[in-house]
Amino acid sequence: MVKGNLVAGLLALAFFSYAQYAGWNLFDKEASAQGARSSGSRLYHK
Amino acid sequence: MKTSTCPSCGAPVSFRSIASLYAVCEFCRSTLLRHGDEVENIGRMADLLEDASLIQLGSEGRYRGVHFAVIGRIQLKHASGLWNEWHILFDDGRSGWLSEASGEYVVSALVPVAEAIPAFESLAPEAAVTLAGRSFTVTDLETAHCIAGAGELPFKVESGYDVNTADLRGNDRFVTIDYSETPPLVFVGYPAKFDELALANLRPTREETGGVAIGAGGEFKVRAFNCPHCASPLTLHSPAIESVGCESCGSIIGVENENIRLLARAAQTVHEVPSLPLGSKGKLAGIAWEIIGFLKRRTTVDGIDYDWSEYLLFNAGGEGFAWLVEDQGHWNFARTLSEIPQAVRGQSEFAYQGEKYRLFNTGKAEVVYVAGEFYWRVSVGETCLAEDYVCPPTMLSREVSDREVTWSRADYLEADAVRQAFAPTLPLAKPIGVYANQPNPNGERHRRVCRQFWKFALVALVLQLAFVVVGAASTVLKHRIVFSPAQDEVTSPEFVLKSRARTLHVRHATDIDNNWLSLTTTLVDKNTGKSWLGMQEIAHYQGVDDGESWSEGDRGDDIVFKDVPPGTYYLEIDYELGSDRRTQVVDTVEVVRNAPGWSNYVLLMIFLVAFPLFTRWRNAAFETQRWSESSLAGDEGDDGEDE
Repeated sequence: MVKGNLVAGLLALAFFSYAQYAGWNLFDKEASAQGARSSGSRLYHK
Repeated sequence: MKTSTCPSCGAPVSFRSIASLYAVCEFCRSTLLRHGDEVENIGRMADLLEDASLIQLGSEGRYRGVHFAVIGRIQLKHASGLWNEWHILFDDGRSGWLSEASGEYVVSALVPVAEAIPAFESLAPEAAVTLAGRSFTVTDLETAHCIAGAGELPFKVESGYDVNTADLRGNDRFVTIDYSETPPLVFVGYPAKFDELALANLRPTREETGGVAIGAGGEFKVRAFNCPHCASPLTLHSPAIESVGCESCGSIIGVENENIRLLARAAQTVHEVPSLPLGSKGKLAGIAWEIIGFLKRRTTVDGIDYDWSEYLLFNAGGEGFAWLVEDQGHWNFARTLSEIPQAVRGQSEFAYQGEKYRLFNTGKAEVVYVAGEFYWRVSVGETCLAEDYVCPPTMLSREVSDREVTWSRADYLEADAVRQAFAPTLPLAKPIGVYANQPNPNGERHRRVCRQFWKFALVALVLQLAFVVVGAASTVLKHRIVFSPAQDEVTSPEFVLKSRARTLHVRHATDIDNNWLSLTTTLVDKNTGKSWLGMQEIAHYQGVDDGESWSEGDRGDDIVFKDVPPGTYYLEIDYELGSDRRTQVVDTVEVVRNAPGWSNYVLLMIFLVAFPLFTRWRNAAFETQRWSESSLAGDEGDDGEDE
């Protein structure tokens, strides 16, 4: 149990560090990328 | 030293101590009273009973660094057997007493006490008595019968008189109140081990048919005899042995000097087979023990009998007696306590030698089977009130009878240790459940996991703060936008990202009230035309109902654009205002690059804390199982100890 906790804790810290660096966030509303568009024009309308 | 001549037989009589007013002539047994340089014969002293004590007149020893000589003796008898009070003279001129009973030794001295001594009849086991400002507890009340005296004595000893004595203990002190005189005599002393006394000139070897054989230097040789009922061979390992239970027929034989006497003929109808046979030898904690006695005891709770076994251990090397107790497959090594705890009957907990002990069991214990040797006159059916207090892996037990209270300390012993020590041929019973003082294997594990958790938590906090402080979060745009019902699109000013942004938070903070706002935020790279699209719904309603205010929804919302390359950007916001209220909405839009998030930190902490919570649960489950076996279970509903 103690060894398992140690390994799990180290892995969790490593994963946390990468997630923070990459900006991952479970609760963020994420925008999606689109292709190039001409400046100032709208591609869609309601 | 003064030497006189016995007026009866002319033998020399010595008075080495100034405290010795009487002396018994070793030749004719005349009791002599000293008057200055003269002695008066006041009668003949009865003969001492031959016992197996290793000490004799002329033996020498050391106590707390001071040499002493044994100069006198009083032999007494009580219900449990014989004991000796040896009159000793220290080299510094002080005299005292060395009490020898049931394998225990106490060195004491007569102490003057100013306050009134309670009457013997008013005393009871466990009663508190204050003497010279110190509190003592009554542990033993006896009516002793004086058999005889020998050597130099400070007072007259008459054979055949009965004397009431009370033994008391307080901290490490031992007190005896002798009610043979008025006022009673008070002796105060300390327990001592046989080895500590470094006794020399002990009783020499004597060859005598059927008699007690003492080895040179005081070593007691095992004595063999036959059961007077069934003639089975029996043994005596120690001069302190007072009774022997015959394994074959169940009779209990009293041992008195050289004579044995049948005390109870075939008292037991059921023959028990001990897991560790009598005569088994083994080493525990480096000390060699031999199993010389076996007891089966019983307590009854709610009509159910609970039996356990007790094995009397003997060490010939000076350690004396100890006990191995087996209950439901769990083992304990126990010894009688000299320093007794300060605890009244039924007290739920107390502190002893820096540890807290809690009451675990209380009940009446009855002896149901006896086999082998014992240092008191054991009998089937003898009962006592027993209380167990635990502080795992230790248990302190109190046993109270009509005349006596004894305390013992038991330390939990793994069955493997017993197996390795005594190598029994029959397998030992498997442990059932959790025992009262069984150490919790999860306790240390829980402590280590908790220590790890705090270390991880600290590292996580340091990392999080590093990301917050060092992560270079910055606001690249903060602009006020008005969403008018007359329009449906707004464009923000441009902003520049000098380097790649891992995250770009776009935060909307509006003043919307009782309306909704639908946003489509497009992040546009001015030079490349690449865009990112995000859609949001913002709604907020509030009101008052029956005097109570309510609100629903949020006035702001965030959206995140990931991995945005460097460049010049602007936001194009298409919006739709709800028709609930046709008023404009003011929005403060903020664009923050690499904003640190705390949710990952919270999730990490939740994950890390799961481990100590799990070990805590296991720790508590073990304690719950332990305390479910307590005779007090259901009274407290305790769920065990915390870290």
